[in-house]
Amino acid sequence: MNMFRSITIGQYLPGDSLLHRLDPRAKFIALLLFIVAIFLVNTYWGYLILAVIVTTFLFTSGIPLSYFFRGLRPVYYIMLFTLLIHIFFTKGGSVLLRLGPATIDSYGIYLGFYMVLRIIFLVVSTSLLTLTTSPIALTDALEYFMKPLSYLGVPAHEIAMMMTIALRFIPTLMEESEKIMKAQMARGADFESGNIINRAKNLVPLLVPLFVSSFRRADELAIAMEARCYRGGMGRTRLRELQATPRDFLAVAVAGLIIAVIAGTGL
Amino acid sequence: MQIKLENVSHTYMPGTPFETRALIDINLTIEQGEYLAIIGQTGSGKSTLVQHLNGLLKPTSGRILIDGKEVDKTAYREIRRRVGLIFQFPEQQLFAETVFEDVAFGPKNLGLPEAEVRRRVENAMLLVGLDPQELGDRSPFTLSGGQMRRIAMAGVLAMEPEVLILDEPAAGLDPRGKKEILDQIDRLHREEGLTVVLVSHSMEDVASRAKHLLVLVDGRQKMYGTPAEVFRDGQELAEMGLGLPQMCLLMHKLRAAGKDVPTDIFTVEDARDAILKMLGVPQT
Amino acid sequence: MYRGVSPIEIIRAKGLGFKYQQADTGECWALRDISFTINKGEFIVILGPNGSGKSTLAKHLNALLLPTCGEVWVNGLLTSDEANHWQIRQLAGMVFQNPDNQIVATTVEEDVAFGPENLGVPSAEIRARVDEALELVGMAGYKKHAPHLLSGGQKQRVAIAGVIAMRPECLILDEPTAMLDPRGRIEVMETVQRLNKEGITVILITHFMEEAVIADRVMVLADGRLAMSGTPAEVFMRGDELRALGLDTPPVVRLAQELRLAGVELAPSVLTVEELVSELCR
Repeated sequence: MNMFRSITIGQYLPGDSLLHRLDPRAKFIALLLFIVAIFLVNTYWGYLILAVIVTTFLFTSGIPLSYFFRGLRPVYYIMLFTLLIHIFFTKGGSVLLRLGPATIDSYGIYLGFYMVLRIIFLVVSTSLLTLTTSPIALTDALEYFMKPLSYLGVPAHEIAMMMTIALRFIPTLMEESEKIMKAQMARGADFESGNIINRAKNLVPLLVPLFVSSFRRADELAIAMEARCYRGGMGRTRLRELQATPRDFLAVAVAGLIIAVIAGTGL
Repeated sequence: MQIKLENVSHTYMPGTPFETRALIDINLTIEQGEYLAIIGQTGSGKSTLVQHLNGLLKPTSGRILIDGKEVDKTAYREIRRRVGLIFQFPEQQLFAETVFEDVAFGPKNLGLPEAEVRRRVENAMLLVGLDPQELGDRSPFTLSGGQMRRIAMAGVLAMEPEVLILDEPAAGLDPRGKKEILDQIDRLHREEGLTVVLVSHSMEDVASRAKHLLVLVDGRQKMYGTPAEVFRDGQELAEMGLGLPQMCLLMHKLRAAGKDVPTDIFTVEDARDAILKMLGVPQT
Repeated sequence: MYRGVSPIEIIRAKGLGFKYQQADTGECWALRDISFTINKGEFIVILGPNGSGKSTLAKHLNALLLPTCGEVWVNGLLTSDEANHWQIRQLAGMVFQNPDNQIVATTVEEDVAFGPENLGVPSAEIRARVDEALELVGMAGYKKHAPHLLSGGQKQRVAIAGVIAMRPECLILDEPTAMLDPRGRIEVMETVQRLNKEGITVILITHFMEEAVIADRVMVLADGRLAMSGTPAEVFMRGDELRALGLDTPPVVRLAQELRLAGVELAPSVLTVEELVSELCR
């Protein structure tokens, strides 16, 4: 019933670990470097190193493991799907099993597991970022990285403001959807059964009120922002200016080093 | 119909850092013809409780009996038909192009024949004081806030429920609008024989209308009884952050000042008579 | 009321009228010929039934709407002059009815900082103002909290802090308690009264009659016109007129009136339960 509340993937959990305290920009860059490393690695030793790094951070982040893995539930299906696709459709190596015209080859199994490992590393490392970084810190980092683009006419401030407002209103709108759904269910609406066309039709009593209320909210929010003297990014100051410490530079340097080692030694 | 809750508890998101115990060990019987008011602060579990009464939420532990029979999976649709639930600010759920279509949504979901749907829509609109001929073809979004709220109420009444649950039906209305809506609910209770469950945080509104009050604090059942019984101990309610109705508060204060007055008084007229009696002024 | 020294005017409306286009019925006057002045430090309550034009009037007091005819001055600045708008909005801050639809940021402190950030206040000073404003509304312990997890009363206090951090002269509240429970209403009303004692002019729009009792002056709006104006006692004496407008008096005021009719002698200023008790126990 509380469908929206059960989605916990990547939802920020406040804490005081090393990961929590790092500058969001440092975390961003380190994550990017780490993702590059994930795609460079193609030996078991290399994966072992990555696994050690990821598990260390996972255990020191203070995030309950049960919560972490519950949030990953939707990803399990993607992993299974990837594995099966490779097992049945990737050809090469020796034939292990023959089922009529189809074969299962050794290379397919090998590649399937590789891909699944990559997905695991990708998802775990990315959720470590979002679980330990507040949405505002993420937005601040994005705004910082987009700043050079504003000279090319990209509305960096506006994009960041839109992200902030979206983040602010997602929980509110989720609560509201749940409320409207329940109100319509109390009038006998059915959101759960029927074929695709019927289900889409059944969503009208949910979507129309949601749109109406979103427009009203947007309207009221715009007036409230105007009342508080908002007039775009010009001349605007910030409560918190991002401040990088030596620790942050160290984090980025370490991530860079890992890549260099992996690329250099061909792990 | 009779609704009985036995040791009902409800926990949101169990087993996560966001776990919240919204209801703890509620025991309650709602008899046919009851007018029950559920009072409590926001977050006291009022909304969670009423959603159990029509099967929108299932208890984490404990059980719910309808006419003595335990509710199972197959019965939820049936219960939603018999127990109508009107949420707070119900006008926010209107969606159809015309008022008629919106009110007809519930009866149509019940699979009723067209003539019966029409009869129910017209009847429900009359029950909330709206003219089906005049408003039936209008878009609900062009009407005033008060009218929209009535249309949403009609949408639930058109299901012809036996029990009507209303969550803060008067929220956001001015004094006149508030009185009109509450009087309308009284009428549905009296004339249509509906069992009414009213969720409110206004002592003023419910004291003179409800037969029984249930006070919830932090998901627990703190007090249950007639208004006179519940308001007997003013101090306790004040400590829970729930005020007394003004007239009742006045009587408590007069008593504290040593005057001999009753405390189970909720209307201005009763208060006048009690004070005149206290002062020994002859009444006409 | 500003006692002792001669009053200093903060808001003046003269012959204010506002007309808008309605989809089906065409032109409609939401406000008609409204004139009043409000002095620094006053606590004003504006009462009116739904649709009486209260919110429209409020939006004229900080240049969110501009008069169709007549004029509005805030601290001597004319609202119809666009060059004055930002200064007027800083001087006359506004809190709205729906607490959810006025909080912009994802944490309490970020939201309170939103106004000062827009004014270009330096970071260190924003920090000081945010802390001070949250202290004033009693929300200092919630700096890092997400707004959607707060109660209605807490959200409204955050919204008030957001205005206070802009250092306004005047606080306009448009039905701030309409969507709150009793505890939330008490929180907001206590906060507003405290700010008024600190010297901020308060203009509170409401349809809860009990909230008007503490005002210095009450204005009643009906059908876009200023129908009554005076002290709470003066306005509540006219209970029948108020009821005819779709409003009411607090029960205790109605009771006092009933008792007077029955021949009990009571002071004309009885507005609260405490006052009536002390009158009756005299």
